[in-house]
Formats: sequence, C-alpha cells, structure tokens
Amino acid sequence: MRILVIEDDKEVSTYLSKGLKENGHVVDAASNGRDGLFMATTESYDLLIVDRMLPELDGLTLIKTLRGAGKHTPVLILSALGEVDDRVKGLRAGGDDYLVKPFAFAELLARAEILARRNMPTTNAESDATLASGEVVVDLLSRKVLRAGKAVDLQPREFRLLAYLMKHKGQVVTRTMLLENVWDYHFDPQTNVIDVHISRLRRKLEQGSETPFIRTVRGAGYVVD
Amino acid sequence: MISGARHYLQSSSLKMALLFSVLLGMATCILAYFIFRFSEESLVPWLAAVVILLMAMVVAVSFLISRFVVSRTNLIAQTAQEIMETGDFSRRISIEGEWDDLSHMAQVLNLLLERTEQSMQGIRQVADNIAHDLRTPLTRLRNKLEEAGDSALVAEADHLLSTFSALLRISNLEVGRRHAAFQPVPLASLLRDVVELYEPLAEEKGINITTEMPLSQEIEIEGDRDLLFQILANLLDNALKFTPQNGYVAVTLLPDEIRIADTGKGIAPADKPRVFERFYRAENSRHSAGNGLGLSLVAVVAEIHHMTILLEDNHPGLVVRLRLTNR
Repeated sequence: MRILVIEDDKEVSTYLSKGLKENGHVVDAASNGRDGLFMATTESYDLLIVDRMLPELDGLTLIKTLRGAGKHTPVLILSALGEVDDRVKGLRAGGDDYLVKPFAFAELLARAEILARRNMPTTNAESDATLASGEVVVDLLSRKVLRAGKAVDLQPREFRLLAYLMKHKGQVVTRTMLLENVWDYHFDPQTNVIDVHISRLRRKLEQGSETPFIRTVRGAGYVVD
Repeated sequence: MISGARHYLQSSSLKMALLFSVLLGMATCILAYFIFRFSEESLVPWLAAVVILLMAMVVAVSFLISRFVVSRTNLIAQTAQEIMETGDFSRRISIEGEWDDLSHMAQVLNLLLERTEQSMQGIRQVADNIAHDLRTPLTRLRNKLEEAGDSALVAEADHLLSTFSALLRISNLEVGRRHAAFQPVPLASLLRDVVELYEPLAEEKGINITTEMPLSQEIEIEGDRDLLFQILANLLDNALKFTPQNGYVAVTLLPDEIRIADTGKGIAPADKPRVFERFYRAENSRHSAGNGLGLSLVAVVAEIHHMTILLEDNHPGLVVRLRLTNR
C-alpha cells in the first residue's frame, strides 16, 4: 500500500518509513505541513500518517483542508500531546484514528493496515453478512456461529469479539483496538484482561483441534488467518 | 499523630484554671475564717453567701475560659487532621480576629501550610518536567532496542514508557483543560461494562463479582466516559489483584455513590492517606504488578468529576466509595 508520512521529526520519520517498508508498503515522506498537503492532494495514497505538530501548516488544519477539498484518504494522527480532549479534536477535524507517542510500532502498523484497507473493495466472494475463515462461519444477521457445520454458543460480547477479528481477517488486531471497537472504550488496561476473553473464545472455537484459530502475535495482538 | 478533638475536661488549661480556683478558694476560706472569727455574728450568713458566690464565679469563669480555649484549639487540630487525611494542602485554618495567641498560632500554621503546598507543587512540576523531557529520548532508545532484537529489554523499556505516559496523563489532567470531552454518562451501563470486561479474569481467579444497581432510575453524571471507565477499571483491577481465591468483589451503584468492596488484603490505616500519591506502594503491595500510578489517576479523575473518595475497611478487605457530589 502507498503510505505518506508527514512528520517533521527526522528520527521518527525514518523509523516509521523503515518499519512500514519492511512490512511491504511503499512509503513517501514530507517534513512539513505545506509539502504534506501538496503531496496528499496531488498524489494518491491509501493512508496518511500525520503528526499534529508540523511546521508551516499544523496537522489538524492540514486534515481539515484535505477533507474540505473532498479527499477522503484515511488519516492516522500522531500526537505527542496526551490531553483529554485532543483525541476528540483530532477525530473531529477529520482524522480516522489517533495514536499518542510513544507507541509501539506494532500498534501503529496494525492500525495503519486496517485503515489503509478500508477503502479497498472486497476481493473475496463473501457477502457483507457472513464472515468465514477455516471451519468457522459467522452470520452477522442472525448472529449465529458455526464451526464445521455445528453451532457454537457465544455470549453477545464474545460474538462481537469474534466478528471484529474475522472482519479484519489476516490483519493484526491489537488489544487497544479491541477495547475501542468491541468494548467501545478508549482506555489503558493494567492487566491482561483482554487475553482472558480471547482464551475463553478460543476454548469454544478450538476445542479438539490442533491448530489455533486465533493466533497470538507476540508484542502486538491477535490475528485470525 | 495528632489526636482529634479533646474534651475540655482533659484540657490542661482547665486543669490550671481549676488549680487556680482551688487555691483561690482555699485562700478565700482562710480569709473567711478570719473574718468570721473577728466580725459581727449577724454578718456571718452574708459573708458566707458572698464567699460562696465568689468561689462559684471563679469556677464558672475558669470553666468558660478553658472551654473557649479548647474549642479554638480543637478547631485548629481538626483542620490540621483533615488536611493530613485528604492531602488537600490548599486548605487553611480559619482565623477569628487577630488579638490573641491562638489566632497568632493559626496564622503561623497557615504560613506553614502555604510553604508546604508550594513545595509540593514544585516537586510535582519537576517530576512532570522530567517525564516530559525524557519521553522522546526514551522512545528512541526503545525503538533502537527493538531493532536490536532484545525483547526482554524492549519489555522493560515499554514498562518505563507506559509509566511515563501515565504520569504525564495524570499531570495533564491536574493542570490542563478538563471539560472538553464531557457529556452525560449513564453510570449503570458504564459499571455493567466494566464488570463484564473483568468477569472472565475474576472467574479465572476464583473470585465472585456481584453487581447491585437500581433498576428504576438511570443515574447520570456529566463527565468523560473513557476516563470514568479507566478509573473504575483500575479500581476493579486492584480489587481482583489483592483478593484471594474464593473471595468476592461487590460493585454497588447508589443514587449518590459508587461502591467497590472486596475481601482482599485491604489498606492499613497508616497507608490510607498516602495510597493516592504518585508511585506510592503500600508495604503489602510493593511486589505486585503495576506502576503505582493507578490510584493517582483515580484521585485526579475523581476530583475533575467532583467526586470524593473514601476508603473504608471491609473486615477483611477494602471498600472504595466514590461519592457523587455534583448531581
């Protein structure tokens, strides 16, 4: 995927570019808001990673201008600020996701990939109402789950968890993303509270099979292949 | 530890006053004896009456003086006690008039409180500045460690970074814009969500979580949904961390209070005023997971939402009470 990184801190910019390239993406970089806006409007990218504090034109104004010009490229905002209302401001300006520095690269990568793929058309034969992977089929309308043809009994939250993982099949999903999308809260858990939910789900789906259905990616999160 | 209000019967001022009264009374009696012996018969009952009246007045006046003194010193002692318990060093002792030793003492104490408050703020600022300035170099260090492939060191760096982030978050909340993300937050559904998130963990640890909520009315407060979720999660996390197997955690929602009770280790009385300090770890929790900032965040967020926190014993265990004062 084509990603544009708009970041004035050279070290961070290099770090991000290198990491994203290593994961198979094509990366361009801009070091100030004006150049970034120019590149974003004249070229086509799958994702923009924009730092809030930029020289010449600050991140939020850049995004607002972009949206005003009708460009709907997904934007991931990076910020060194950690204040309460910043996230809200960033998302209201037109950003799609928001990460506060310092962040683990794995977190950024996971979120970037999910954002970038949002605009891509589905290439598989699945309809919008069913998700499938391996032996497991999830019917979003009837909220039923089948494994090798047999019904699996899931609690509402477990269903949402599975649906989210399968909706992003093949993409790494971090714990923070799960908290935001399955539980709808943005917070920092002290313990491995999410892991226990995943183990419960695993037990119901992996009973008797050798291969794990939900794979743990060390240092990052989970993925359903 | 300053003891609380003292009964005026214990007061040393009263004892001195009583001693004075007794001595004066004895002197009066001796004087009276001599007067009676050398004066007219008919005057004796009058003189006796005067003497008794005088003694009564002396006792009464001594009593009133000591009560006056003791009630003032009690107020000072009580204010000082409250300041220590709540850690609220912005409070001052109220001074009535400037004419006596007690108001002078109160003034001096207030000055002392002022200095203490400034000093504490100064220390806090230094800590916050350090966290802020070190975050970028630490992030770079962490990234380089990640490239070097040493996962154990990366984990350590991550832990350090998360502590710094948490510290900065707390200080930002204390100082900065607070109300931008405020909206009406229904507490019952919030609590249910927190409990639901922690339920599997509780089950794994063999701890029973119960919830008790009013079914009739929806209790709402103006607040930041994510912050409130965070502190409730921190509190529930702590409750589960310190409660042994087969224990219970009870989450209750009352019209003016959120209560989380557990049957765990509890907090010793000496630790209670200090657990909300940054990095403070009570003796019996020093080796548990976490960075010692969870409760500091709870304190700051509670303050922003005009909630007061009370810590009580559950015999055994702890009861955390978040009183809603702004509804």
